[in-house]
Amino acid sequence: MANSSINLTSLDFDSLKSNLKTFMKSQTNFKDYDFDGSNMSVLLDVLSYNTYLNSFYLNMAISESFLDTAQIRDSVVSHAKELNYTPGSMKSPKALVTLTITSNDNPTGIFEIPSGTTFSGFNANGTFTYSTDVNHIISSTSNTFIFSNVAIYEGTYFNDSFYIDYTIENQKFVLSNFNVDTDSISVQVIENTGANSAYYTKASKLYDLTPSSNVYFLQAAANSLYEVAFGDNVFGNYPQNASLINVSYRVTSGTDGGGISTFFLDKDLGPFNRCRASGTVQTISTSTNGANLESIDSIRFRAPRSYQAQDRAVTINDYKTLIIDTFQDIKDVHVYGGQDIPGGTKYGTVFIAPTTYSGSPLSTQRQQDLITFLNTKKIINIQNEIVNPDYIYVVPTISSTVDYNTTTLSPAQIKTMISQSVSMYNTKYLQVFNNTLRYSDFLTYIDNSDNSIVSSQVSFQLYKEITPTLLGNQTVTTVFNNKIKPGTVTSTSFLTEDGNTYQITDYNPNNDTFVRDTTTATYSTINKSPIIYLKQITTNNNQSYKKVGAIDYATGTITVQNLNVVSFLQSQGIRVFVLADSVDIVGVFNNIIEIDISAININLMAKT
Amino acid sequence: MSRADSFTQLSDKSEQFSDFLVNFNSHPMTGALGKITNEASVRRSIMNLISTNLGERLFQPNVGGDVNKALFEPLDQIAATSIRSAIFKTIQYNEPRANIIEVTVYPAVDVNSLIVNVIFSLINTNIPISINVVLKRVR
Repeated sequence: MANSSINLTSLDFDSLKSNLKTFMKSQTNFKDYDFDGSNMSVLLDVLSYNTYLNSFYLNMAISESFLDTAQIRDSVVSHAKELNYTPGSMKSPKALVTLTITSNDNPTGIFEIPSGTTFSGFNANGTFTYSTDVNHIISSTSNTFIFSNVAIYEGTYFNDSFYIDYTIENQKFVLSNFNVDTDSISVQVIENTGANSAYYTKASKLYDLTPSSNVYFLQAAANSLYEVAFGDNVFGNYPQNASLINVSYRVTSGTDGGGISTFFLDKDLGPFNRCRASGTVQTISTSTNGANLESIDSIRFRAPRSYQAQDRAVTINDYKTLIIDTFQDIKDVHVYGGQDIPGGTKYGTVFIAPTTYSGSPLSTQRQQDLITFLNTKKIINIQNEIVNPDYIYVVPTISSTVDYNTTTLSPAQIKTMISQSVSMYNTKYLQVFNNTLRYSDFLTYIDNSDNSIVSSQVSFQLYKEITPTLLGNQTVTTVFNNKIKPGTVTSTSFLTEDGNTYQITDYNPNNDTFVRDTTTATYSTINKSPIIYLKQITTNNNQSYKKVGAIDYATGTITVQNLNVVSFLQSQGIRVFVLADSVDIVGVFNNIIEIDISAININLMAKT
Repeated sequence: MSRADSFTQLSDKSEQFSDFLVNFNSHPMTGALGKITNEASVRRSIMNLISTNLGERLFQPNVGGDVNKALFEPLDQIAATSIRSAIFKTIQYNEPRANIIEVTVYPAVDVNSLIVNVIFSLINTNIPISINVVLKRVR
């Protein structure tokens, strides 16, 4: 039976044309629709193509209309703007330096380092320029001027000027440069041909704003640019007609310019201070905490949550959203209440564990900034406390069976491919809070490295690096938060105050307390007396064991008392190794699970 | 597509194939959209196929005689053979209503043209039909 209706659900050309042909079957006037050379077929081509284009554009247009489905950055940014969310800009890495200036003929005894003074430094990505953000002025009675802890930021300063013109409807003030660090924006408004000049401050909310408030609003513009906007003379002042707006800001390279530890002063500051001067630069802290432009996925994730938080820190998600939204250098943050800590309950305290893009802990200054920021958002009787992330490193030992008949790759190449897969898994699933290393997922990644891998087995050794203060008697506790296999605790060597070299262990052959657990089907090993020993390894023939602490195998807690370390011998601290007693490695609280890519063991066996 | 080994002769009035005119002209008496049928329809279809270049039809890159590619070729038997092959294939693959009897292409050096002659019969008849096409530069 002829089908006289057109099926409108298809989106591809062939289906559309097929639908039109089906429709044409219902009439007898023109029958050549099914022959490629016919005029009718050409007409159907055109109709199908037109429908195809329309459906494509319609699909794109509708997709771009929603935050969840939009693909173009400008669309996502525009939707985020409706939620009062400004996408994060590039952030300059920051370093602290001490500048020592020697000037023999300074007439005033005062020396100034002006804002915008540039320094150079280089890393693997190239040479980068750092700048001071404020003026530094000190006086000295000697010929030496020491500027301590001067903050320098990667990037150089630019200035955009605009004239307010009331004849332009909806005038925009879009900054002309990409890669602006919005934290560095300074807005000066000059009115009445120079009679009035004022610096406007940034406002993100309408609270407390009056018609005379000198504030500007920062918002995202098209093409990853930013624009400043002014009030409407109800919420914030709108500058007078013909006012001059000077917007100064820093343009940065983001994370590329981080990790620099040596800086050089770019120019002689003598002429500026009307004297001769020479200077040396000493680095106090390496440049860290840079960030790149916020990605589309990140905007899509954060914008609705930022709106949901309503600028208050009440729930865990409020904390996360506020912190990540405000501190661009923080990559991820884990927040948990003190009531959730087993054995160490601390009611009324919220613990905040931030990680940075550079991987280094948040600097003390930034931690203080974070606490100060949260003090205005938190519930009155809640205390906020920052804890550093606690890394648990995983060393996988991988045994794979390979069918060499199905591949031309050498064993070394297969090992490289497995190593790359592990690295990919590490980047995709780990290195953030609250993530678990799933045994089966991990195996799937390894098995998919190459078609020749027919099966794999993995065992996980965990380690944490503890860094007790040198030359001090102290108790050190480290928690793996994963079940530990009894008898598997070892460590790197360290020298103690008695002049001997020791390792940490839970196994003492002179007092073997390990027995088989016959009550379970697995006959697993248990330790009747879970004790931590210091094993002396100064001489191989003189191994003695000293009882120094305890271990809880269920929680993975190892406590070492009266530890007095003089120096670490094999790493930057003491690495405590254990074997996990479960197939999945779980990260809780401030734990971050990370695979130590450099230490992976891979064994290949040929399929028989 | 399988083709019939035997067939029944249709009367001339039977409208087996029908298409509209390429210039969309209307019928002078009724005002309806003009129509070509049967032999004329297939003839038009073959003319269309010969004059279509590869890639010209939307989403159908393999349809067409692609004679344009010979525009700057020497006017000799080699070019003629190449074009004959292309025309033969496109009719064979894209026009199942035509049984090709013969395709000839020969250079007319005097007038700087190629003469294409296609002889075919409709699938349900045995009457040979001839199409002559002159390929020449228009400017």
